[in-house]
Amino acid sequence: MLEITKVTLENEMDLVIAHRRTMKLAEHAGLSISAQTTFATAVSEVARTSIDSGKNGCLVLGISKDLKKERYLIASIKNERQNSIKKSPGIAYAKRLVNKFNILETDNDTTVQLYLLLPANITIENNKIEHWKALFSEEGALSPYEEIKRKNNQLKELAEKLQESENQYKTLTNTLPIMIFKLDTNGSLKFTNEWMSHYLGTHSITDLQERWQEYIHTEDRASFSIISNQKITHSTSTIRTQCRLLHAATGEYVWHLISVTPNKNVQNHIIEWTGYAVDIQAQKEYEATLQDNEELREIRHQLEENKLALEENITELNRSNEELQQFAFVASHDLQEPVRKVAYYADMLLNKYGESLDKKGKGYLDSLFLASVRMRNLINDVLSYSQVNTKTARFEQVDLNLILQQVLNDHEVRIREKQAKVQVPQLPFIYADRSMMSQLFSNLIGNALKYSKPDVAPEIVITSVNTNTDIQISIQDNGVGFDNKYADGMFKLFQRLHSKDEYAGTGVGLALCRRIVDLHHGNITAMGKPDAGSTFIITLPLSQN
Amino acid sequence: MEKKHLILLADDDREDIELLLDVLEDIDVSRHAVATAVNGVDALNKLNQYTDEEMPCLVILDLNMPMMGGTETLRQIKANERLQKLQVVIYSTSENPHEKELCTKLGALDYVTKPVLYEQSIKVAKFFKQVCDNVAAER
Repeated sequence: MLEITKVTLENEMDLVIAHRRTMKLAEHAGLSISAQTTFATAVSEVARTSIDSGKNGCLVLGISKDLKKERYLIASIKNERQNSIKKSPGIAYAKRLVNKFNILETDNDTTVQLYLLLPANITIENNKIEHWKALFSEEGALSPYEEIKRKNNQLKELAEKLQESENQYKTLTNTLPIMIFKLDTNGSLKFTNEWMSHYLGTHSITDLQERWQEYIHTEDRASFSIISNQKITHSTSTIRTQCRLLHAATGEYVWHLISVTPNKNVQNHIIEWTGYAVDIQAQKEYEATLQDNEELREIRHQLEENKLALEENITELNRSNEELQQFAFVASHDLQEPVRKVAYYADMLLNKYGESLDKKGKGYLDSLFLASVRMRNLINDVLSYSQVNTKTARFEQVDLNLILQQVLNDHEVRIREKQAKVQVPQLPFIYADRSMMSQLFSNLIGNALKYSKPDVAPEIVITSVNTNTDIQISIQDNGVGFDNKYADGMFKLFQRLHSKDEYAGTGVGLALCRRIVDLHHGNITAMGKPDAGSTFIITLPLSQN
Repeated sequence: MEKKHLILLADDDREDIELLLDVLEDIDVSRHAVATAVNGVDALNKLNQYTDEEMPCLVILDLNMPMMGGTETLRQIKANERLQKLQVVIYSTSENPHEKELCTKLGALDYVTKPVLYEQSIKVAKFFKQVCDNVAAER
């Protein structure tokens, strides 16, 4: 059947519509008034029976498909059956009014089909059928009732569409891995999607509403509060913020971008807010890495600059040190010669021509000689000091026992004079400069002999302790000692604790000792007590790596 | 023996030469027995001009001299077949132990530091005379 129009059958008013439509279709088809009336009456009878015996009835009017042979107007009336209609009088009556009549009963439905044969002279083209369809659909309401009925139907359709759309929206919001929520104009939570409840580990909107702080990182609560009640009520556009939300499954805080947008009605009043929260942890980490890299680059750059500056300073220092050393060497070396001659001439004068001078003249010459000798000693010491440097150092395996023995031999005269006792331990081989080691021990033992008490025979006790890497040698004496507060200062160049009348000296000896020890990457310290002797402790590495 | 010199003394310092000559005179060594040179090159030239007969008993070399210092002169003497048997003593102001060590290694008989005291200079002069006497006795 080619459907042309449709009428729902619910009450008496619908019967009127059904009758009119049937009449109209029959009229369009070119039937006589009597034929129109007969068919409409039959349809009305079946429609009435349908309304009485079931619900949700519906009439469909149309025309048979087979266009070449016999053509029928067809009325198909269907309802959800409550009672059988087969025996009702209306059905029997209607059956007699049409050419063909079918009743189809399935489990739930009953369908009655009425056929009215069209005269053979009437030809119906397809376009005619389309035209009738259009006529029926454009036809205005036949009555106020039909008007209401139409509106109702439209509303129903809209409601269905709305429901469908709502369902789609819900499915969408629930399947997206984004938190979606709605707030009312007071900022109260009205809706959360499944992802949000699942992520935060709560299914209760009230719980979220009341204990939101627990789901937000402490440091981010302030920034989150911009979407709290007051702000919402004061704002009219989208609000965005970033904060860390507690991921219930891992217990970790994850960075999210939160955005809330107002929904406005036709009058442009905000009726609610829609919000979402997206995971932006990856972006945050990327930003942090970038930032770190930038900082790292800056630090590295700064370090590089500092290093360059330092290297420049070191080069400058080395150069100036070298110059000073060179100066000290040249000065002291070249001064040696004339000073030696001054001393020599003075001594020769005293020896060869002393007899011809008076006592005063001889005294002056004596002073000249002594001063030149002191000057010579000073120059020699400065020369020695200037020559202790990495350039002159020649490292080799050195037997410290031999060195110490040689030093004691050199001081033999003084040891004998002072009746000194020297206790010597067994010492190891170390990797060092031979002559510097010799100088080091010579200065320390020389000091121990020199600063002895006038009436006490010096006792010098040398002891040593080895580790795998170092040797510690201590040289202890029973001499005049010193106040410990000078322990550090006396290693400085030209620092003296005694006047030259008490003890001769240039103030270079211990400075030289420290320079030698430093050059060997070791350490030298001193301890003392006035009138109770001194102890010098040298630590030297066994090898120079 | 008029032409023969006991000692060849190489030193660029005229005063030091005079001082040593004075002291040698004090122990009765004539200043005419000492030939002098002002540097190493000069000393080597003089030595090369001597016949075997004229060769001095002792060569005394200062260390720091212009053109050629004592160390290099010593090296060349010891490398020369005619001169290598000569007794050489280094005579210097420097007390640098490295230099002492080097000169001993190169074959110097001794390393004498220039004296500060008159008494020391007498000892030094006597030592030089002794070396000359020993060499003369061996010849």
